[in-house]
Amino acid sequence: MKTIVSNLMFVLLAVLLLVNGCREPEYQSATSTDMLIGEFLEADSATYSEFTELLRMTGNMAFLKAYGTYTCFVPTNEAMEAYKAGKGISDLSELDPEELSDLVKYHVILDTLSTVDFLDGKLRTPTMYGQYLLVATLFEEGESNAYINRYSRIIRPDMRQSNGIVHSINSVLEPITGSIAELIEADSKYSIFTEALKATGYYDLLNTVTPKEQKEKHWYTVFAQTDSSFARAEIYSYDDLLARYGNTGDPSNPEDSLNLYMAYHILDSTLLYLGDLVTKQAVLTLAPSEVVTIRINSDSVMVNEDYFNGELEKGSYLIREESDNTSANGVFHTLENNLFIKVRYPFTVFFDVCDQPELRKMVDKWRVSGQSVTLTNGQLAGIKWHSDNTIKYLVDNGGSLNPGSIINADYYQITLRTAVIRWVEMQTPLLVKGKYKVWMCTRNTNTRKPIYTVSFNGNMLPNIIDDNLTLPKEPWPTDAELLAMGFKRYNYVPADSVYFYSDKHGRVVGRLAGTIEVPTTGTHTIRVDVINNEMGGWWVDMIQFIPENEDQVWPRLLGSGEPVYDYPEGYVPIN
Amino acid sequence: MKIRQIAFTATLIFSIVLSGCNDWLYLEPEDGVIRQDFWQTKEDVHAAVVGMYCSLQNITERGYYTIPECIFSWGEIRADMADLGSRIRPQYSYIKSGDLLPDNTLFKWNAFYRTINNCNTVIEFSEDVPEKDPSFSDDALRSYQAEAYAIRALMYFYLYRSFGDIPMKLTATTNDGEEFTTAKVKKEVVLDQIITDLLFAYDHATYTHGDAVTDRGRVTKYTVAAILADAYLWKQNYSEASKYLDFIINSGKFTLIPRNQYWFTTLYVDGNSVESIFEIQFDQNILNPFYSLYKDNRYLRASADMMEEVFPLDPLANPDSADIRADGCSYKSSDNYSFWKFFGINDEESRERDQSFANLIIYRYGEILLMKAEALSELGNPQEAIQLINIVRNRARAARTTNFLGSETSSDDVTAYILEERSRELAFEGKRWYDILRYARKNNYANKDLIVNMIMRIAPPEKIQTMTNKYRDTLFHYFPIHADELEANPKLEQNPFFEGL
Repeated sequence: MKTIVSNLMFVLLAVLLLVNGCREPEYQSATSTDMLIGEFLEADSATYSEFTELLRMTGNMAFLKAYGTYTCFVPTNEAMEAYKAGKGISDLSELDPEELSDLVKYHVILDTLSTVDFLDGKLRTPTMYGQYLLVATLFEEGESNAYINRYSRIIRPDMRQSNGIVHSINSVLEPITGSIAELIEADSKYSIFTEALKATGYYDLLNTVTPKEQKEKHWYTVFAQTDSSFARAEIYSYDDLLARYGNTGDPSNPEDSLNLYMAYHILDSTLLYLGDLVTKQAVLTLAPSEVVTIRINSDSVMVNEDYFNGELEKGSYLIREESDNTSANGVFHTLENNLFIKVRYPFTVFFDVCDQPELRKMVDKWRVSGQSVTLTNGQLAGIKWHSDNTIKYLVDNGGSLNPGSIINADYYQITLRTAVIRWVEMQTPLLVKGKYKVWMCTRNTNTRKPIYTVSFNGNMLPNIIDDNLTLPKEPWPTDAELLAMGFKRYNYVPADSVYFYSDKHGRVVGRLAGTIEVPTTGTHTIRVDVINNEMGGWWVDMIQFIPENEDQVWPRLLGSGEPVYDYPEGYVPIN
Repeated sequence: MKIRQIAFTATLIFSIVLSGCNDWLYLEPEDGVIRQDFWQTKEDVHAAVVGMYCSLQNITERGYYTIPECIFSWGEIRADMADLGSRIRPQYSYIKSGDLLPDNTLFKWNAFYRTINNCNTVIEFSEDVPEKDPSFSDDALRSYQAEAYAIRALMYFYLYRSFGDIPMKLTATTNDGEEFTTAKVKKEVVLDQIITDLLFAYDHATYTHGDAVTDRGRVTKYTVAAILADAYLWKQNYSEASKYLDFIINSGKFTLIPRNQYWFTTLYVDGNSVESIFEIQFDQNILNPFYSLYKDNRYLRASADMMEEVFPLDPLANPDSADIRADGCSYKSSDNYSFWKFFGINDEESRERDQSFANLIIYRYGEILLMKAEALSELGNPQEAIQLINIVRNRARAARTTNFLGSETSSDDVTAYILEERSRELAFEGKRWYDILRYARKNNYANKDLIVNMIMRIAPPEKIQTMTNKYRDTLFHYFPIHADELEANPKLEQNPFFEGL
């Protein structure tokens, strides 16, 4: 027995040795990058000990030592010293604990953001404090550097740890406590604008700040005007402004045109930095049904500069250096010239149904070739459907579908059947008041069999759409023949010149659902209801809203979404 | 830096593996691989030189980007003529959106240093061969060495233009365990070393290897002169550049392929034409990497907007008399704006995948004329420059809408016009970013706006400010050194813009 035991021991020992002997090198190779943010900060006490101390004092060290996805902007010890000197204290404990806690929260974001995610403007996720951070790359004295909130320079970006990313910064970030109203008032160059805000009552509105405890914030975005921008419009005082725009003598009356004029400078429930504005075509202002349009001209963001009937209407640009001013309840920008309400005509909206903010955030999926995401009901704020069945977001990899025929290569596959998903409802982008034709742009085949109706704001449109139908071939119908049948080619595929520059299988087509009347400028609801229970699913790419008196065929869109306005000169369609 | 191959073995292996190259690249495998046994005869030297050329080709090995892909993509991605295509290659899209990250594998320069080491090996170990092989003359030795000096200079020239300050290794690394620990040298020093190497090569290079095709695949005195002239343009030494360009022009050995139905085939499809000075060679056995990158995968394509700007349509002209460099040559609009110089077999039909062996042209006579025009213009002779530009334009039947509108006596106008013409003549030959950078850098970055304005045009709207401000910093004009290199070579410092990244 003894021998057996000792033999067993020997074997065990040998096995242990063997195992240890094998493992050792593995351990060595894998340690260096495997630190948590908290450990990383503690390890470099020469640089980060002050902030580490702050984290400990406020009880925030624990979560930075736990797994998660964090982005942490860490001020260096010098930055912390400067902060304390500015506050006139020698030790952080002299400050109010709540203030310290806010300070920490303002440096941490529950998201992993590397410099690749830095666009012009705010970071995509707010800090744990609730405010967004502004990021900008500035060029000064021959050097370009990334700054947070324009004053804190990023010294070392992108230090990846196992639970997130650390960026070290050279100045402590302080939460902004002033409201938009207060910040505008505090700067004397906005004196006329401030007076007008007060006279119209919008000062109080822009002075309301969502309490800190409340998670959902109410934001405003304001286009402010300086006295010199008024002066360019020959307005030299508030009285001049009142004389120019006031009509009832009571600017606090919402019907008064000065009141509307000021409301036109305010976007309610909206937080749009310049980097966000440039992705919009138009934004709705507080003035009922009135929009301002946005376009970019070389590197300037232009407001209300538009082509109407081929004529360029001069607008105003936003002064970059004086815009993106963060406040406790939103952001304000500064206009170069006077901004006033314009009569708006309907304009075309190509609604790429996959352009949803939730999908945009999936950077590794959104419009990445070959990717797909299964979506559950409720995951997208802008799209709802009947039942708990999932729908699928897909990005074509150029293989299975005719390349370039799906705009931005992305579409949804939705099992549109009376037994599965009976209806789908989508929020439209902003539509200006007016009449439009609605085109449902889908990929059809004879195996794709949903037949459905389309409703706008609950009103059913006349045409019933059958996704079983593809374009007739040989002879290929001309654009005019197609229009007569309620079809159109909405894509423009340069490779398929023989087929009128469209998908050569005639499967990716636009179908006219009918004409709608948009009652107010804003977003509305469009809904499809299926009437049959066949297999095959609904593959939807986009929905187009084209003012009824405009060309319904051109411009067509390249796969990249760029418009093409006509066939190449001299193109003779081959039939 | 992981240049730790036993270089002469590697050289030999390349030669053996790639012995399916063009005839002149053909080599009987040698038996011995021990250095002392290898560098014995002039045949050994020849074999090593052949291996050096083969290493320029399409070596696919883990962790290596091929030299042709680097030359093309480094020269095009940052500029305006090439756009991202329908499929995403993150290495490209990050660069395009102004995110130059040190862990982007496209910044790996291994392939260049591997070829450089092959050159160093030839230079160092061929030296003693004449002692052992009496039939190997000193002239022949120097001629082989000249090829190695020239290729080394060419490699450093690409690295210089892409990374700025770089480590320069001028001796062979032959021991597997030998660490490559060389610090960076200033880019001005790099350029001077390149010129020194080229001057040696120029003195010793042969005029010909005996046949016209070999003369396009191996370095001749004309190849050296072309690289040298280009290097002098970067140094803004226009009189020296002019001297070497004259040498090529006056040799009578090169001419523009006339505009006829065979023009495209001769210059780009068959390659090694009388217009060509140096090309990286491909054939049936060694395909170029472009088909899978830019045709199958469409990672990059010609920018449709830029093509309209660079090759504007002349509404008055017959479409059949358009600029021959436009649609169907530089790009093919009906093939998703692909880079047709690599994919066409004529202006209509495409190569098959297994026929993708268009050579990568490094220098050709069209560019020599434009370089000469630039030197003339900069030396205060813009009128003569215009005549040279017109030779290039007339061959291509350039559109009247692109005619010169400036003052013929203004060097500034003419020099600026040459950049435009280069965008037409050398479209998608891997030159555009380097051209823009070279122009912007002239006279202490007097033309920095060239870069900033270009970025404004191509940046995505939500990144315009970030990107233009990055590009305003001239340090950003050079790539970061890849993180792996910094780790492997402790003496290496990151390029200043990216310190701390």
